[in-house]
Amino acid sequence: MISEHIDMEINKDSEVKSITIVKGSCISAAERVRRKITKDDFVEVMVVKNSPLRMVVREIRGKQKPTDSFRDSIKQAGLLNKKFDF
Amino acid sequence: MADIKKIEEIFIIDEEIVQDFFDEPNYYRAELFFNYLSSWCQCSRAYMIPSLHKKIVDWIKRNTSNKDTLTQTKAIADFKNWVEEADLLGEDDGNNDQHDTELLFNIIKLIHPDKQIKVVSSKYKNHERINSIDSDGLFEYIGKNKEFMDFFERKYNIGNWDSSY
Repeated sequence: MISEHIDMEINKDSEVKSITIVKGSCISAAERVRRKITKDDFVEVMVVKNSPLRMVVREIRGKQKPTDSFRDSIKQAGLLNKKFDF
Repeated sequence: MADIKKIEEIFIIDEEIVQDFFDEPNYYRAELFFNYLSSWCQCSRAYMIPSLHKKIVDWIKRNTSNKDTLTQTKAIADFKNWVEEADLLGEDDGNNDQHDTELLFNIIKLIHPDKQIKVVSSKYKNHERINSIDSDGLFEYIGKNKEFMDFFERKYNIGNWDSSY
């Protein structure tokens, strides 16, 4: 079973170290049942530095696209429609 | 439900398709591509030459310097989930994108001789040695994959995509 710490506090000072989105077909059948996801759904594994590092797992199921979170991050960061200028 | 057959393609991208993802008008092209990677390709991340990858990460940092740590680091981590720095190139001065892209293409071709490799960029169109495709061509290419498009439209309950956009 994938371990997780969903009770941890994530606040604006938390540092996201990594995000990995994995397809439902890549995890075990038991884990899919537990998370109520299909082989076509996804899970997002986020590692947050919160003394010590913690893993947060979120289901991306149904009509949620795996790209939705990235798009939301861009909006939250105020980067929507900004042009690269390097 | 049966496992979906995964396509053995590897994509090398530059900043163009990433810029599309940040923009409103061309977002749908990049969205389709990144979903294709996640749902349909064995290699679910696109590769990018290190110097360009660093430029984008630095650009995100610079443009989010007024944001909190969570917002800034999450945007960078999301980018890195989809686009992998091709550190197999090692250290370089990063001043010649074309050279580094050709080198990366050749390295991946050598270690994955059975896989299709595509460079997504308008800069290398008609390049004689690397298999290049621009965003328009990529959108058309994915749009022609009927099996994937049927899956994508059904799964996310969206109307038929018009690949002639």
